[in-house]
Amino acid sequence: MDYIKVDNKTGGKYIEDYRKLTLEYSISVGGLEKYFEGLKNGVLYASKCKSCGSIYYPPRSSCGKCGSSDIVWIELGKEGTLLTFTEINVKPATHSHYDDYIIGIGSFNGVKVLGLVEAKYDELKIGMKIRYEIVVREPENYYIIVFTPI
Amino acid sequence: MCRNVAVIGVGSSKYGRRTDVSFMELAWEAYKEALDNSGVSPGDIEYVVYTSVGGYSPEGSPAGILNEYLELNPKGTSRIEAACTSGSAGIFFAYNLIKSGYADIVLVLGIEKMMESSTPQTLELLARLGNYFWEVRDYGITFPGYYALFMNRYMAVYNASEEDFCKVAVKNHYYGARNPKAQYRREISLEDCINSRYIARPIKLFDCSPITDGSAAAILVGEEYASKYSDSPIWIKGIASASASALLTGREDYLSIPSAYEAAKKAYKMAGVDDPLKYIDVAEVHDCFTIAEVMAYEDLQFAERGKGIELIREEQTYIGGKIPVNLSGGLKSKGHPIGATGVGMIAELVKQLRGEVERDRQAPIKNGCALAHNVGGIGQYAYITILSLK
Repeated sequence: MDYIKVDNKTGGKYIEDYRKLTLEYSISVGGLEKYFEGLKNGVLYASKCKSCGSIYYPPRSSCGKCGSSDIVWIELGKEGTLLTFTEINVKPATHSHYDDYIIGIGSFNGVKVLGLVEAKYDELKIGMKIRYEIVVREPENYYIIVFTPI
Repeated sequence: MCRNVAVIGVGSSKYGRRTDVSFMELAWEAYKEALDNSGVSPGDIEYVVYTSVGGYSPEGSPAGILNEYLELNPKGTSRIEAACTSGSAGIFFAYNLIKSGYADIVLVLGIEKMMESSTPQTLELLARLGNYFWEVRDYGITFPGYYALFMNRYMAVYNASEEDFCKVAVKNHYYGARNPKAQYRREISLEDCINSRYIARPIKLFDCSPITDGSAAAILVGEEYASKYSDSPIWIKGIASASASALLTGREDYLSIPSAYEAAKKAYKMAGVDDPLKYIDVAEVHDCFTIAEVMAYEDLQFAERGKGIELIREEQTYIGGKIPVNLSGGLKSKGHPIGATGVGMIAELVKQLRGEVERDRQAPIKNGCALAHNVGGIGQYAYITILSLK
């Protein structure tokens, strides 16, 4: 067995770590269950503070500006504007199984939302009109916001 | 309480793929150099700040094991983390320890050994310096991806091209080629950059700073100790920190790093700098991607909004231009060991102000004033430090 290995680029010697660690988390959603329920039903919610009117996306269950915990859920309009976008060509470890994907930031009545963009890169233009929908993404089967040009 | 604070010694390892040394040996390189050129003996050091983001190499709490290896026990210690500004945050913490009177002599040592991780693992860990829950987990954004969103928007709004941004890479490689401690010691052509593959379109491989192993160290002292140890102490005249939304969707726009602008305003005020182009001889800015350097020109008020791109088109940030920037090669060519980068910037600028760097990348020192601009994450952290010979 090759106990001490050689990095061919530098000649440096190393031992490959024989302890492997997979990190797994159970992530609390706190007071935002309504948001994730909304995704299941194809609805995108922001939170609005009843006391000072501040709108948050992503939503939060208390208002950071005035401190109130009295919030209402508002549904975002389906049509908006593409503010910017990029295509991810070199992917992080947990996304390496996807083909190259485009992500963008859209503005929906002034509320900014991050989403996956379903279009060819060259067809996209900053300032163009887009629509969002909530889609189930394979193979994990999670809900994701997808923008398409109108 | 109001005493001034000086940097009296700095050190840096060679940056690069440092599989030839262990984690401890990498730290030792910077520490030994800083100790030697400060004249301080280990026993004089009162507190040690380690700066490291961590995760790229397997040690979970590096401060303790490093303090032991450097024979600095029983001095008090901790690790400071603020993404890619960890190093500057460490300098800020050390500055304030001395300013408050708690300590007179403090060592800051930054280290990251990123090559102990695979590239996909490193990209994953880097991406998680943003907001994992809302933006990384579902959308698989990467660090190049964050900055690509800014670059696309900047190009559309200010009519800049991918080629314009490549000029930043060409400049930084030009100087990196002349820095023996740089990761990439070779010049590149505009075509090399333009023809390189997309990493996060429109960001190409040569728009990106590399993954780097490296360490850097700085020894800070209160003013009563500066002349005892050093003939050329470098004074910290301004140091400031600011923050901005880590969520992309929390930003007003994607054309600047608001925290860097805020921190610069504070640091300029503290140092009495009204016009940076008039006072600052040389700057190290956070060029993790070429777009980041262009936004830095504007956030630091070297250029008006939308005009940063003209500074590089006109080669105004080379030696001989309006303000030389990244004569070390920058993150782009010198390398970016994320937790060490901020300390490395201070190490470079101290040597620049002392006239100690290689001749063909030495800035003319007229006013004796230098600036470090360090951005963490996508600008949720920013630190600006202004150094002076006087």
